[in-house]
Order: sequence, then C-alpha cells, then structure tokens
Amino acid sequence: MKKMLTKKSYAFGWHYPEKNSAKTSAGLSEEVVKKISTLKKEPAWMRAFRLQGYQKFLAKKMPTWGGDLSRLNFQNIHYFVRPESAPSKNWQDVSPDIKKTFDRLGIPEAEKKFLAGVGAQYDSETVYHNLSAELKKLGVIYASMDEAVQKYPGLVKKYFGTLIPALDNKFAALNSAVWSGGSFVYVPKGVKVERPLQAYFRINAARMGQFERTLIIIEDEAEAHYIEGCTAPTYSENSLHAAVVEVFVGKNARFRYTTIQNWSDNVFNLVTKRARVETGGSMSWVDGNLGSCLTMKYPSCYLMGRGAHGETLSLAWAGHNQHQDTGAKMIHVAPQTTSQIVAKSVSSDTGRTSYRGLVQIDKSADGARARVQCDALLLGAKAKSDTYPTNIKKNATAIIEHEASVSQLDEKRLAYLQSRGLSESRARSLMVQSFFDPIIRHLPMEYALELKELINLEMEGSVG
Amino acid sequence: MKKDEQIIFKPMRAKRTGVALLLKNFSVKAKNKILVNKINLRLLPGQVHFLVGPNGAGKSTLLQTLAQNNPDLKISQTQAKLFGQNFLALLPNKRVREGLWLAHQNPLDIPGLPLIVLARTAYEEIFGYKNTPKLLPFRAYLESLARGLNLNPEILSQPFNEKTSGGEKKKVELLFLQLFQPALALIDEIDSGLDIDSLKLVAQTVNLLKKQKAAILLVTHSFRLAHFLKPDRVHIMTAGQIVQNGPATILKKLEKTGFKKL
Repeated sequence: MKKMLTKKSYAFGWHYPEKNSAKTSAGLSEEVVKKISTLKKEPAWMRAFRLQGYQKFLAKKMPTWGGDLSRLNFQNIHYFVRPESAPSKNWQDVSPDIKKTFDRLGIPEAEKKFLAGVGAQYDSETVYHNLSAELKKLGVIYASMDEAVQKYPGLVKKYFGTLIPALDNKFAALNSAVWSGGSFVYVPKGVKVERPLQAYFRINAARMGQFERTLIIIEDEAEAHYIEGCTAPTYSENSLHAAVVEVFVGKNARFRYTTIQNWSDNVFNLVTKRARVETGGSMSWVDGNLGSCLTMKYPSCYLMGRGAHGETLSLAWAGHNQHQDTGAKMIHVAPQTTSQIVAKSVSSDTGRTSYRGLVQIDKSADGARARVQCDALLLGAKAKSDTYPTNIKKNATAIIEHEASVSQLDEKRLAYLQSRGLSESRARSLMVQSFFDPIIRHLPMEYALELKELINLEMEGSVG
Repeated sequence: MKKDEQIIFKPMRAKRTGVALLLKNFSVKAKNKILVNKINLRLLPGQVHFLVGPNGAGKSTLLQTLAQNNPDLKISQTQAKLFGQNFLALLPNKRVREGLWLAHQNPLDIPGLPLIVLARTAYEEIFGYKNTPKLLPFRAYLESLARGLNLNPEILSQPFNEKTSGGEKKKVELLFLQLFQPALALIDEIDSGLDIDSLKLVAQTVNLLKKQKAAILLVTHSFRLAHFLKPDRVHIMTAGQIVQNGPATILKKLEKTGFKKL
C-alpha cells in the first residue's frame, strides 16, 4: 500500500481508459444476473444461487437505520466489468494498463519481501494471483472466488452462503446475485501460514459496483492472517461497494482479517463480514475505515464452540462530508466464550462517525465475558459523533463491560508537545496517532506507517 | 558520544553568540494580580544561574512565560531577548528551534505515545529530517542515555510518562536535556523529591550543558542541589520580585536565615 495523500487531494484519483472485454449495461435485471453467470461459465448451482439472490434483493427493504442511502440509484450502476486480461499467474502476463495501476499502488514488490501470496482485483476479475510453492505443498488454497467455484466446487458448496445467506440484508442479497471476484482461502488442518496473505481491490470503471465475495475456511488447529486494502478513483456519480466476507474458524484455530479501506469519497461502502468460531478458536477483525462517502460495516463473530474468542478492532476517520457508520457484533452462543470490541473513531471537518455495535449473550453461554470500548475524538466544532450500542444478556453468569468516551484534543498536552519543539499540526497529529494507538499497533508496519503519514497530512491541512 | 552524533547536535547552538537571555523590567500580569514584577536577568553562555525563593514567588511563572504562550497572561518588558533576538512573539516550537528549552516541573503523561516516538519526532522537527539518525542508532543512543540516568531503557517503548514515578518523570526531563542540549535551558524545580544519587545526575546533566557553552537558569527552593552544583550567580525571588542577587555564597547565608528575613 503506497502513498495515500490527504483526503482532500486524493492521490489515487486517477484512472486508465477502460479497455473492457465485457461490460453489462447499466442497471440491474434478471438478464444482467444471467449474463454475469454466462460470462463466467458457471455451473448450474451457482447460477441458481444468483437468481435466488436476485429475487431476495427485490423483496428486501432498504435499511431504515444507518446512513443516508437516498442518493444510491441501483439502476445507474454497471454490475459487471471484465478487464482485458485473463487471470494470470505471472506478473508479466498481466495487461500493461492493469500492471501500471498496481505498480503505482506498490504491488507486487511487497510480495517478494513480505507476503506469502498476492491476489489483485481490478474491476471484477482477479487479474493476478500467486501463491508461494511451499504453501501449495502444504495444501493451502488461495484462489480467486471465480476460480474456486470451478476448481473446488465441493468445498465451496459446503460453505458458500451458509453464514451470510441472501436474505440476511438487501446488500447481501445483491452480492449473492452479482458477486464477482474476491478470494477463496482454505487452510488445511494443523497448517500454520506464517506470512500474511494479501489482496488488493480497485474500482476503475465509472459507476462501477464492486461486489467481491470472499470465503475463508480455516480448519482445526490451523492459523493464518489475511490483509486487504482498497482504493478507488474519484468520479462524480456514486459508486457502490457491497462485499460479503464469510469466515469459518475451526477448533483451536486462529485467524485474523485486516482491512484498511480508503475508497474515494463518492463510494457507498456497504459490507457484510461475519465469522463463525468453533471450540477454542480465535477470530480477529482489524477494520480500518478512512474513505467512502458512507460506510456501513460491522464485522461480527458468532462464537459457537466452548471457549471461542472473537474480537473486532475498529478504526474510523470521517472527514469532510463523510459518514462512517461502523462497529461490530459479537454473538455468544457457547459457554466460556470471550469477546472484545475496541472502536476508535475520529471525526474532523464536517465528518460524522457512528458506533453501532451488538453484544448478545444467549441463555446457553454460561460464563461468557464480553468487553466493549468505544472512544470518539472530535476535531473541530462541526464534527459529529454518535453511538448505538446494544447489549443483550440472557445468562446470569455472563459479564458485559462497556466503556465509552467522547473527547477533544487536550490543550495542556498539546502545549507540552509544542514545548518539545513540535509545530501545532505535528502535535495534533501525534495526539491523533496516540489516540489510535491500540489499533495501529496491530497493523502491519507498512499500513501503520502510511496511516501515520496520512494523519500528518490531514493535520497540516486543517490547521490555520 | 560518537563523533557523528556530536556533529548532529551543533545546529541548536550554531551561531549563538552574545547574551543568551536578557530581561529588563520583565513583568507578567494575570487579570488583576502581578505575578512577576519588573525583573532583570542577564545570562551568558556557559553560565549557571539559580533562581531561588519561597513557594508562590513567581519563579515557575517566569520560566513558563519564557517558553510558552498563555493568552490569560499579559507580559510587558523594556527588553526581552534570546541571543539578541526578540522571541516572545514566536510560537513555542519556534522558540525551541532558537535554542530555548523548558524542563517542566510537572510533566504530563500522553497515553498511546511511546517516549521514543515523541523524542524522535521532536528531533526531526528541531534538527530536520536529514540530520536525524536512523531509528536503530537513535534508539541505541537514547538507551545509553537512559541507563546513564538509572532509567530502565524499556521506558522508551512505553507510553509517555505512563505509570512513571515523580522521580522518573524528572529524569525523563533530564534525558531530553541531554538529547537536545539546548543553548538556553530553563529548568523548573527538577530537584524536588529527588534522592542524593539523582541530584548528582542533575548536576552531571547541567555540567554537560555548561561544557557545551549552554546558559542555564535553574529554579529550586531546596538548598541540597548547591552541594553538587556550583552556580555562577544566584537570584532570590519573593512575591514576584528579585530582591537580591549575587555569587553562590549568598546561598549559605540564605540557608541559615530563610526567606522571611529578606
């Protein structure tokens, strides 16, 4: 993830002229859904899944809570764009324009140094994919979702849509109908993948919808870490990003899914992310939301097995005209399960952050413990923040702890920092960084450094 | 200290000649109360001046006003110069770049900000990116300074001043003095509550600065520090005014008679 500049001068607001070999016309209909399935040469069962999803999408109502979706026009969006390259295993084979895009974004040099496998998404198809030989030997699968449907139908059928069915919400239904791209990860029993797997998404075509679908299966006693980062160029009409991520964490397995999203401020970012955790398993969502005009995202964990653990570490920044409506859901079904939600948000300029969280402890969850900490930092008089926490405790031996705070930058500490030689904007930047520290410390180094640089630039721009 | 590190420290003292700090008829008022009343001070590079006096005399107010902006306070002076420059109109961080440094009496904690990040960011701001050593040598150097002050080097990675004792907070201020080696050091009661070994470390630090030709104005209202550090001049301040000044010997008299008889 290379240079992200200040939100005001969006560094990734460039795009290459579209050279698409297939693009559906604007708007959504059963024909569009069928065409997508045909273009992908899908088996009948997936085609049927899509059509059922489409029916559910038509039936489902828009959410009456959350952000303002009034400017979202479903008929004004192209639902599928296939770029000119066929998915490739070697970077040389990828088309030059697409290569240039990702070179500018700093992929895949990172792969050689640090990562086990890189998948890159450019307008609906996964154009580049690689997985180091050693992982292949261990039986680890890291493929595009499209590829997985063709190559591993048994596995896919077993899990796909079981954790997030189409009727879950309108945007899950939409994704079920028009999904394209996304990752499929399978880690066999007992295998521990040391280096992180990384994917990168980019929306290029105007009025493009991004509907990636990711399915991750971590078998018993396995371990892995998946990192995702997103950018998009700036357009005047609104774009839509409605992704679905389903994660299955087996017994005593450990998995972390890290995202930093920095979509341009014309994107609606509506994502459903859910993990199911078995006995002794541990799931961690690290969720960074910097961009988009509206994000609605609540990574959740269903703690199904005794002693399962789930956590969401959420970082959000809402700047000029942005609304980050984010949080998490932790559902305790089994006994002795534990969960943690740490949500840190900053709103600057006219930005608005909303924490929306659910902790639910079922009757069966003896001895469950849940902890929620949500802190909001307001920079400036026009910034806004609100919280919508819901805690449901149906078991008397369980404990839910909830702490919340709203603050502004402390003048005395700012003065101390300035007396150490720091300019006012630098002092403010360090204070914001230290506010985010509980989350930043869990980010991969390159992301942490980029985020700190972004904070510096934001603070420089706003002081004066 | 390695040779290349010595070169790096020069920018804060380069081209600093003449009187380090010159105050004439310097006054500080808060609403209706006069906190500092027409004081005169003249510090030359390489000099250590003690500012002593009872509680509430205005000593800390004076130091803080020289280093920071406080919109609630009104300042007036016939002259106020830092190395020949008018400096009171400068922002606090700009004053630091001109060589002025305040070692705080009550340093704050800053959760989530490791000491080393604060130190290195400040270093970069003051000396410039090109003059800042890479992270590992910088950390190694800070660790050696910490050990020299009997501070656990782990303090560098911990959030700034979190869970540190009063004595440790003061040692962190000493650490900064040793790291940045300012041309004019204003030291606000760094000796209160310190044991003998720590007082020796204060003396060591001040002598280090003195050797580099820094000017030091040190506020204290205990007499113990004088056993380890001999000032070039002592100013006695009560009720906002400097009532007496003279060589180090006046301290011995003062120790016997106390402040009330002035």
